[in-house]
Amino acid sequence: MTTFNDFGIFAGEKLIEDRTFGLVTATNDVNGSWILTQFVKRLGRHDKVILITSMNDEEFYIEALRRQGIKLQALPNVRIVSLLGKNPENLCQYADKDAVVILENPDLWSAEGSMEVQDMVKTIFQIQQVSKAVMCLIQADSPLLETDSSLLATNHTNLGIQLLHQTNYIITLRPLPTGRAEDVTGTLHVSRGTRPTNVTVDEKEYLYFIKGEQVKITPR
Amino acid sequence: MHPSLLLPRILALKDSSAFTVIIDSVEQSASRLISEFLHHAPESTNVLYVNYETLTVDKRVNHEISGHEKVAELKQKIVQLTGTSQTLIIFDTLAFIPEQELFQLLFSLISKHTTVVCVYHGDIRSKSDSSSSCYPSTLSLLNYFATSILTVGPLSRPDVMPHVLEQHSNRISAWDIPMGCNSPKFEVQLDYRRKSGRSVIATYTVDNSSHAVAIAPNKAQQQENEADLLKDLTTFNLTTSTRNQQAKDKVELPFLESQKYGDGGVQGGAIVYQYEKDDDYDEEDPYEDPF
Repeated sequence: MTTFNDFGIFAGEKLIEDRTFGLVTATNDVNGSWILTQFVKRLGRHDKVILITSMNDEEFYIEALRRQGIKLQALPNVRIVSLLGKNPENLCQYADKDAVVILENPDLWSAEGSMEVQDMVKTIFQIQQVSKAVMCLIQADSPLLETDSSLLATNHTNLGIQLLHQTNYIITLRPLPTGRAEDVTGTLHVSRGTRPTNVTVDEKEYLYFIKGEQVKITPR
Repeated sequence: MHPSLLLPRILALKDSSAFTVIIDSVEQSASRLISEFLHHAPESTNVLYVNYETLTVDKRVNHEISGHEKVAELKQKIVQLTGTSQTLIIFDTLAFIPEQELFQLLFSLISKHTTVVCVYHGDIRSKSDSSSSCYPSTLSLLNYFATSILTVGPLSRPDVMPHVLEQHSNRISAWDIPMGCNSPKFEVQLDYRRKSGRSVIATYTVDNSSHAVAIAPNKAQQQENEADLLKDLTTFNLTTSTRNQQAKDKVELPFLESQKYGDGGVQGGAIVYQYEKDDDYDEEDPYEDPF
């Protein structure tokens, strides 16, 4: 059984308006794939959804959706593109004027060097221009954001900062700052992006809890 | 001129600030200030928008140019669309232009009827490139060349404890954007360089929803304190009432005329006299040679 008390943020229709760009940031403690699965599941009922992932294979999402009680075949509008271990050539080819494009961890490509940071930022902007809406997940672990002069940290920071400067809304997934708890997996913040839109973003903080197939969200 | 007029004049392109740099951050983006520029620009102004990262460009923009091109081609396109009328050229980020070509491009666009406004994301890190480590960073060069620098930030909160502010900025540097960032009401710090070389520093609050621009209140408080100091010193009235002060601040002094661009640069030294209604205009020149 799936409990998903979403308090409006995952109504989907409300947040993913046409021509918006949203950024989800997560850390290693709180894997962000679950939230992408939720978006795929909820949006996939009435919208075309294309999920492009650098991290997981197609099987992963088939399984993740199955755990949510839904078969991928039952969502004909959903397409999972796994580029795991592949070069991200011409990402724009997967975009579609009527589709919501969800990008999982494109930061991996710039980190491993298969794409320059500025090219990555440019490509993600171009995908926005040829899609209905775009949502992107990147990592925000502190070693990647340190102010030392390591090239990896500089590149990752510059990628994230420039993406943040394009956002209409931002979703932040972090572990509890006070430590571990039995019934809380992490915190989820929804905040305004840097680009104002006609859609008002309902800025809120939530706690969420994932256990097996259960996802529970409570406002803080 | 009173500083409270300065930012409104820059926004309305009344002031000859040919090269304006806006420094922003993820906490408070420049996009709302750009929309103020577009709102206040005179209707006749030709607005060019060099777009690198803006998904929906404001309707006020006359020509949108995609920035993702070779710099030489980009320059050609901009020059073509500039024409001879007053033109506002906006760059939504400078991060895509190679450092070596950036200033060449910007300088070639600045002329007496163009105003260049560019956004520099202050939180982007510059790559320390060993080959050019002696060369100053883009930001310090922009600081040096800009005629005005606008730094946007959230409204200052003097009542908040320092450790809370520190927590707030720690969260931002971890990309955990707290609530209330990028609000329609924000603060702008202006560093304006006059032609004389003197710089004026002032802080304003801007409301993007009502398009109101006001000088930050701490300035007004200072004036009140001055008034308090003069109180009870003499029987003469040495203070100015707030109404007097407001009226005084609104006066655009005639010497601004001398800072206007004319043919071939600044036309300094000209005498500008505006007749008031009681002035008796004498056709005859009293200093004329009587013979």
